[in-house]
Amino acid sequence: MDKKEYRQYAVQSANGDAKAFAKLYGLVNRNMYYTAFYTLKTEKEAVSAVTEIARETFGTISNLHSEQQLCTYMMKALCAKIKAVLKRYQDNSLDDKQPEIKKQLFELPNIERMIAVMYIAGKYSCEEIASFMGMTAMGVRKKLDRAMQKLGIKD
Amino acid sequence: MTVEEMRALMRRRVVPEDLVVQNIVDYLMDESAQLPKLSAFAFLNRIHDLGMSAKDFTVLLEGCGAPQSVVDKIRANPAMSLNNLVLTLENSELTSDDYSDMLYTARMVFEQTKTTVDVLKRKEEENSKEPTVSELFDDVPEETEETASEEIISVSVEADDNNGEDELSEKEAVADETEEPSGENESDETPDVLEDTSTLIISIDPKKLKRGSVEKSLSPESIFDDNIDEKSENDEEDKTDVSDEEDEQSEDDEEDKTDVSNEGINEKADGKDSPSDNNEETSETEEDDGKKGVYNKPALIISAVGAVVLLVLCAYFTFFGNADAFIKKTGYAEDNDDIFAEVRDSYTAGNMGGEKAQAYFAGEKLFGNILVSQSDFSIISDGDFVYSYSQEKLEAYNDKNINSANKTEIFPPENTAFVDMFQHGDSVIAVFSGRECGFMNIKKGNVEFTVRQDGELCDFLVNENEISFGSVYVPRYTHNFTSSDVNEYIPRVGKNEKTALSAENILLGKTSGCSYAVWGKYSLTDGSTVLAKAALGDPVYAGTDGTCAMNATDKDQNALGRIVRLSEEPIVKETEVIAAAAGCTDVFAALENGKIKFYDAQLEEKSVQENLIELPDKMKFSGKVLLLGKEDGVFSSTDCANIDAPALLETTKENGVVLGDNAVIFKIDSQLKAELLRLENDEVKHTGSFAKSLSESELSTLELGGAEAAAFGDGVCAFAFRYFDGVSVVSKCVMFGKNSSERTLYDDRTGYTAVFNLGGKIFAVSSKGLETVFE
Repeated sequence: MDKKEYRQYAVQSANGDAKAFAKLYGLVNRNMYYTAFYTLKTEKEAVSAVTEIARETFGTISNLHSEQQLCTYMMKALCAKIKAVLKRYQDNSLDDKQPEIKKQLFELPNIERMIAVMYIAGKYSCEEIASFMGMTAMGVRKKLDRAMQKLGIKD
Repeated sequence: MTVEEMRALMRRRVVPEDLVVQNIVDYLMDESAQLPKLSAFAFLNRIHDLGMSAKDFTVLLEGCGAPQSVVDKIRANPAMSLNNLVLTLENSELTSDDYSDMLYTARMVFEQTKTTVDVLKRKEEENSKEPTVSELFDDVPEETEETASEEIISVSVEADDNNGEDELSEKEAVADETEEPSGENESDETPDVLEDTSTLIISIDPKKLKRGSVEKSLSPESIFDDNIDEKSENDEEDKTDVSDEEDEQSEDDEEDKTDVSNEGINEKADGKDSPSDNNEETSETEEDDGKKGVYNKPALIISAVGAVVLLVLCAYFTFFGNADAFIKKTGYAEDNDDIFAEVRDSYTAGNMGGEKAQAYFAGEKLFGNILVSQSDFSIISDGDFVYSYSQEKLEAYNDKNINSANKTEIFPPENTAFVDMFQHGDSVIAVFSGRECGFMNIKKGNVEFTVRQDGELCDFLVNENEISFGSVYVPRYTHNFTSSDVNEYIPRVGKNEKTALSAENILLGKTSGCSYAVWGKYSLTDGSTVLAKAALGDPVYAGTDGTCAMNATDKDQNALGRIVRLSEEPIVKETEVIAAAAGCTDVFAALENGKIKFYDAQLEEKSVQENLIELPDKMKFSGKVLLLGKEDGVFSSTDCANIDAPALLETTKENGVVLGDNAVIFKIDSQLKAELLRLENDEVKHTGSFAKSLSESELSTLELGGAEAAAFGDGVCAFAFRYFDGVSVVSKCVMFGKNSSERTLYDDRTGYTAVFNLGGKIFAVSSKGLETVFE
């Protein structure tokens, strides 16, 4: 989406045009969903987290002046939301209906899992993930390396 | 496993319906919103978004249990119009749940095929590099054959290489494909298989798909249907090669199969560069669905459908993409079906149009050759009441209650704002724009009637007892977009209540987009509709005389522009793409490819203005003068009185207030100056001036009251201002011109907030109440 187009949709969104906001949301919804789904236990939690962030962003869209700002804001908010949900978990057990790949991911510690999911499914760089999670890129890289090693994945 | 492979696995997960762009809108406003039921149209729209071909669509319908008569009907009529397609589905037994199931299926295979092709492309790129001998042999996964032997599948796969075999069972196909690369010519074969993805033919037996065999997003287990497997295998004995033992195993021992399947998945995931990507894909389908190892035939078959979807993507739509099939000749519609067909075509193609419509802008007012910047709106009166207005509301006071809280507040219709207000006879007319446009006729502080026209206002024009509006209407999304929904896809106009235009007033033809340029003319006194017409397409501007500018594409998808005049016999002029436009009586100007072209009433091109200093975002006529503007205001004006030779006007920009033929211009340098101007026969005449010397510190605190605090009388002007003289806040209301007068308040809480003419007298309002400035 070019800058002009973004600005147009952002202005419309700021004026309450939900349809225009949906177009902006479409820039990041898949990555948000994958991040939430593979990090949280249930799909319901993932859907709830993403819709909540979408609603929240709809209310603050006027402060987001570029596509990058929007994506960073939404992913940052999602990470914070996911962390809050993760804190409530007693353990990392998953029900049997979850995909096998998710089960593998759930063998990782929460933060490593989040980082791995954003890196693999979201195609985000370590720098981007660091900005979402309030960490240093070096810290993200270390955790990612550990996660990849545990998952047996070659970069 | 590599990151890429894992990414492909993870991204095959179908994003739930609640989170797709089309549905998130519902959740933005209402936390507890429920997904709307899918209608036939919404279903087709979503299928279209996935790029499914007509052929695959019928396979999908058939496989998911649509009545055979429906499938046959669609298959027998490949040129069936969208209208009929929707009606056919609506008249079938299919429910919204069926549509949801089919949509989920289509989305699932779409995701899977997309990621599979990504992987294949990448592998193709890798393989296009010279492989080493060890790499070639490493690429042959020993487990693949074993994995294949576990699979129960009824999809026949045929690669170009396998000309001699019409239909192979998946098992055979997998075996063949896995064997080939392991042969002597493996280094040749592997790239071939990958290259063949573009020509891979997968034939599908629709009998293998069953209604209800598809899971919904949140209930992945429902995708499994062993009975279907059994039945379909029995039906297709001659085409499949599945052992009884395997059948039995699939029915009886789910856990075992789960383990086996998992092994298969892991093996395949570990064995990089396996040429049997179809196997990998199907295995992963199970994994995504959260059921380990139970090979689900419908899902596998659906995956095959997905492959077809992808392969025919380039060929694109038979039903949906063929816009020409629905394009009518340029002319007024005969009935609503004509409109419906054209609207639906654009709507389904996601081409709404109207995105670049040029909204009405008040901007500077041209007064002679002076562009007057006015920050707010003037107060006007109808003789008994005075009215002040902002975009949000209009306040009406009678002279006795001018300063009381007992005022009447008038709000514009929902999702609109006031853009102008003027006096007409004994009424006040308030013009509004937003989701719709129109005017309110107000008498004695009460709204007599409201005239409404769909669409955002582009321009309006008052001509004696009539007012004309040009607006651009973009129909809203509807989940029930049927031919009876005239109120959704046909613009409406009317007094108090809007009614849809009749079909014969809507111009169709060779346009892209399903928005409208709407033109309406109404009586100011009784609100009756004098005429209303509209043109369908992708409008940029709708003029007040029925001339509108649109953009479109020709049949080769080349962008072009079009100027249309909605006369009895419509006139259509093809142009270059139009970025902005404006019209007045007898002159129409359009910004085409960086030039402004001027057209006469018959849309004959008369002249061109080139070498523009900068390109305008918006254009507007003030009388016969064309104003070119950007966000920060008007930057150029051209007199079009002689259309053959439009002349650039030398204008000056001033701050002030314009009301009718009167204007006051303010200048602040070493003193405050005000000049009273009057427009007579298009000439600006200077009729009075006022000057007050103020010290530098006083000037730094000077505040002018704005348009609300300026009024005109017979040869006089009164305006308010205030400043701090070092001791007190001095509020003044001065009158100058033919007569002069002055009122002063010291340290008044509000100062003079309003100055207005009521019945020939000029009043000023402050916190102390109403004062007469001039009688």
